[in-house]
Amino acid sequence: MNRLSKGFRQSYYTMFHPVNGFDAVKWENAGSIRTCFFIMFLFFLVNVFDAVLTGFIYNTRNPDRISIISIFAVSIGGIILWFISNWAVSSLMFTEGKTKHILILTCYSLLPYIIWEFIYIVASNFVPVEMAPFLSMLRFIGLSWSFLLLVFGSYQIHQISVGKVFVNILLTVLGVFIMLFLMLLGYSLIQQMYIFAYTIFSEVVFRL
Amino acid sequence: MVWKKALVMILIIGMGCITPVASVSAAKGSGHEVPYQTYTYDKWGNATPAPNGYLPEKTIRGTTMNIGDFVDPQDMFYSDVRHEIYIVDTGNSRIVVVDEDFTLIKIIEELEWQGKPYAMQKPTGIFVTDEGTLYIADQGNAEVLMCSNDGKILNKYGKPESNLIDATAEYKPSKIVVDENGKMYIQGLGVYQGLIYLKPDGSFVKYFGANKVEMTMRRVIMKLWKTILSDKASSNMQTFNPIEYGNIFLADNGFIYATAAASEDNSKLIVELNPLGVDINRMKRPVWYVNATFADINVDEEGIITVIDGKTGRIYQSDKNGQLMFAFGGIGEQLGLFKIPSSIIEVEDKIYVLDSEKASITGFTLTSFGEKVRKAISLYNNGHYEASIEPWEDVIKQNANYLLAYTGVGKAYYQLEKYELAMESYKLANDRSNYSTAFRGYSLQAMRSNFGLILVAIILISAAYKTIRYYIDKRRKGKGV
Repeated sequence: MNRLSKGFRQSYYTMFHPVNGFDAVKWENAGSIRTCFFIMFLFFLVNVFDAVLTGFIYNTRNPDRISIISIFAVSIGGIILWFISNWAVSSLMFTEGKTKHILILTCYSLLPYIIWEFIYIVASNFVPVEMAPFLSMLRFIGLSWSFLLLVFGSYQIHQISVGKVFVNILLTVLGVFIMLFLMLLGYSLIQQMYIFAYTIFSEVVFRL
Repeated sequence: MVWKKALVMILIIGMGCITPVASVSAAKGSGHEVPYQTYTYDKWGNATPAPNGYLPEKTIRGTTMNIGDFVDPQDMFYSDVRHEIYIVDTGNSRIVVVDEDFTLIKIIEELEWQGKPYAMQKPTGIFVTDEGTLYIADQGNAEVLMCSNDGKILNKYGKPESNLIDATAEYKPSKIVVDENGKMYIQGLGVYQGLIYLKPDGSFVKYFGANKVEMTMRRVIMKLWKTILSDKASSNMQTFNPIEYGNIFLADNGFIYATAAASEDNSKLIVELNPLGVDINRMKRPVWYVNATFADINVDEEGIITVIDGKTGRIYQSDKNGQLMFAFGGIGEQLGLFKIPSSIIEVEDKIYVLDSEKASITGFTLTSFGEKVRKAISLYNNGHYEASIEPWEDVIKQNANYLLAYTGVGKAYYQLEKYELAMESYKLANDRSNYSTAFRGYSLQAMRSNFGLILVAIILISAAYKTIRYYIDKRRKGKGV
């Protein structure tokens, strides 16, 4: 518990001092994987709250169609995909980021988004429809803050120039899409193999 | 012996067959059996079965009045001042005048023009003023006839002359309405510039209420092609014209309602034209609106809009904001279904639909459910907000999916400044903008009534914050940080 709170304090510090914070993560081993998992859980939670607790005026979701499993798959799966893709791209670009540090970078960058999204969810319950621009501004602040953290963090963790940071991020996005495509391909292939095996099985059963 | 056994078997089987049939028909007899399923939409836009608002009551044909069958009748007009219904029997080139119970008053077949008899040729539209002057859109003769109620033609209006009107184009007046100053608004077939607006003396004023050209994705792409292709090639492509009007109706408030003859992006299927010719329709593209081709429209004094879709034969009745009240009817042979509906009128609480293919008029009457809905709407429109809550709640008891009722209750509570109850109802109706308005009222009310409490809370919290801060600072100083 003590370690978790220490790690959380570190990630909070990183939010406001990204250069120093990620520097400490890289050279003083200040980040913790446990905090990463906690932030991932928070991210999942905030996505669930977004679907369920957003004020009626701003929530156009049909409650019958909300599935916690799909929210889990999209949020946690998304982080993991990003992490793997970033790890692969960084390896190809010969950067200095370690696997552990890349995971910490991915998760710590999400913290501002989570906090601002939470503020948005609370605020959406208390403002009329005319205030919509302010609310979308809240979300925009969270998103852009997270993006800036990602840029500074990559700069520190991978020890690459700013130009290369953007290349790194772009390639990571591309990598995510490639992985999604491959997963889809693999899924349909496995399905066809299953059908093939099942057909052989039933043929054999009929002949016996 | 074998024969006897066989006979007994047949009897038993026969009994077995008849009994279920008998019980089914008994069940049918106990309730109202109609060939269609009335529906409305639930808050997620799914069509949901609803209790019947209208039931088909009777069919009226020409033969039931002993005047020979109608042939391809195209229009119907109801004058609520004169209590007369005018049926345009296009194929027989005559106008049949009946009273509200469809007993024959007279047939206008032979007109008189300057002492000589004059025959109509396929009239398709009619308008009757409160004084009884008839305006007939006579498509075969390409003119509008103004005649007195006993068939004497007072004036004939041929093709109007103006630079704006293509002299070579054929003039086919199909529908007409006339305002209280005697100005005529004529819908001509193939005229897409708007309604032809004539002064009482027949001179052309302008095109009235011209529609805009729809810009759909397909057309944007075609326009791109046209800029690339040569003039000759692009002239062979489809031209983009504004939407042509299909049918027009003059409402009691003086506004002209018009339906679109065809539309690509469903944006202007029903327009409400003010005296300047500007569309002031406030409907926000309701679900029931999409892909419909409305053959005719009727608007009553409460602002309730009744339209009939010419292709699906469905009648949609909605309030003035486009909230669907009932959708019913369809294509078919039975009573209550249509083949090619051409006109719809509302006579008090009855609806009459003219079918040009069936050559008959179908009458619909309100059910008790429909009556409650109408009662609640009219109570609300007349300012009896509190009284409208009870009928709405009756309606909800019969159909818990009836969104209009929840909106109605919400509006009533809002007017009574019971914002919390209003919010609850709007939530059930999925009405976000109204919910927001009620919410604003509610928060203002809460703020006003609890202002003292809020002030005390703010003072207490700030005092607590200061004290805690003071002790933290003291501790830090003690530690020597």
